[in-house]
Amino acid sequence: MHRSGNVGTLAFAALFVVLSAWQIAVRNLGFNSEGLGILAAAGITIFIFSFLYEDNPLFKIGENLYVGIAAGYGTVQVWYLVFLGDLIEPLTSPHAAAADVWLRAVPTVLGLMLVARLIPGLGWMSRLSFAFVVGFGAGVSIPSYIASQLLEQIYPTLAPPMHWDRWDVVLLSIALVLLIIGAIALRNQTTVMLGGWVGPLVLAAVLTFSFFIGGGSAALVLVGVVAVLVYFFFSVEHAGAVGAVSRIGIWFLMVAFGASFGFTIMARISLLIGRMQFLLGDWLRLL
Amino acid sequence: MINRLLNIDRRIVFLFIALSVAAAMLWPVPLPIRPSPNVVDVYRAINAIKGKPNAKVLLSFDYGASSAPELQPVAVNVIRQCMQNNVGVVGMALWPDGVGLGRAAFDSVARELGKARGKDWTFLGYKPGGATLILNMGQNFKTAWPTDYYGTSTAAMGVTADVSKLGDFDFVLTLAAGKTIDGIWVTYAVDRYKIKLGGAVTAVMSPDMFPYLQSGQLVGLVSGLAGAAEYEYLMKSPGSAIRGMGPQSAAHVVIILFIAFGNIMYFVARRRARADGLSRMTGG
Repeated sequence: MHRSGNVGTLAFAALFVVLSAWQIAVRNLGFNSEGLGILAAAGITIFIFSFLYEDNPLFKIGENLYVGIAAGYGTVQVWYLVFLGDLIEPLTSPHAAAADVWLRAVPTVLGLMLVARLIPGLGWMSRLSFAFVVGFGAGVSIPSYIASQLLEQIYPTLAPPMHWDRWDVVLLSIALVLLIIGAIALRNQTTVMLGGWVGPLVLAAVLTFSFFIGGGSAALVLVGVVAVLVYFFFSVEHAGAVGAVSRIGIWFLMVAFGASFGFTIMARISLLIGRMQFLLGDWLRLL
Repeated sequence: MINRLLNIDRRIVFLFIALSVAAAMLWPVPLPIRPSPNVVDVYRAINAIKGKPNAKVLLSFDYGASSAPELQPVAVNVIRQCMQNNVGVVGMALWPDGVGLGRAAFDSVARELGKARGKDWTFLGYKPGGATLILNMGQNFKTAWPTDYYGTSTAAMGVTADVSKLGDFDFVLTLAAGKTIDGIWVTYAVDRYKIKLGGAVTAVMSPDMFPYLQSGQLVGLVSGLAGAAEYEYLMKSPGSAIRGMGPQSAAHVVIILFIAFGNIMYFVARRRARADGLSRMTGG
């Protein structure tokens, strides 16, 4: 451990000890289960946050505690709710019906055969269980996924033409005009209005306009889906009209990535807020 | 100098964000909250079953402690809304981590409103299987959940006695921090068993959920801490989510300023590099 790592470790440990001692001294926290729980949670939170300064032993302690506790908690839940509740108790019950015993025994044997993979010489048994899992999984999931993730998604993309508003018609007309201009521009080896930041800016303006007028979203969805699909269609050279549409697909993808990044930042800040509310409120009683 | 500004130590950025969040918590500035249509849709879907005989809502706690700041306020307020409307509410978990959070949410609201477990609400606990559990619930609820988390028979409890299959619930809300909402609930429950499904998800997941809103597979969506704050606003019970919106906005302002600053410095550095290259070429 280099020198600055030691300084960081000592600084964060001192911060936790001094502030905790202050809270105990002013009787905000007591030596009961609630007080000790808050102290433990505050300490581990600070240990984990200390990684933002640099990697250090406190962070390792917090990280290993988290992994261990999460694994232990999950194991206990599965043991009591699944193994004990769904398997051992029903099987050992004197009132267990024969059909119920078979319904539990067969999956249990299949599960044990999966574990047999760990025993040299018995590994072949796991293949029977895997065959069941793969067969059942494919049979159940393929039709469900096609129905809910593909067919149900195609319908709302194509159905809106039946009830478009006037802004949808306007936007689609503009999109068609831009498509023709783009195709001509690309054919003539010019990149007017399609290169650099001009295109995304136009798309951003259209999306903003659509948001504020409260219309045109159906046309935008249709144009976006078609353009992105064309972008991912690599069997045809991206030139002329295909090139223009695929370029528009890139803009839509950029907007989607930007939205996704923005939401990710929002989520991470939310988690920070949750911990800060705990540290400033429950631990330091400043809120 | 510009190179130094272009390569600011990341710890300075962290410090600014931490200070902005702490300052906004210690000196809160009330910000207006306008519930978005997707959040209102979830709220209205639950209000719509008020007064219906034997109305029931199922909540699935498919998240862990790391997502609690975003999803726990929604769970608490949805349970509160159901109990205030005298709608039976049943909890379950597809994640083992969701058990503790689900119990905590039910216990706090039931104690606050004086509701009885078994009659007004119950918590079923966790079961593995994901899709197979949902398929089992769709065919026979009592086989999938013969007892609740506390060991009471679901056939003997008033809140679940007349539930024979998943479709008997008037509304299902999944509080999800992972792929359970689209990979399990939408795929296996909505189309097959024709349930009304709402979602409460972390902000990271929100963009992936919008297609299901457009297709109607999700009735509504409560998205991230902002969605939780909007739900608290609709319920008129300000809590941690509404209190978190000020710090959230402050942190966003700091991040936007850093992004703008970084871009300005980038363009300044690029212009200088071009000017230096030009002067070298001309021998200046």
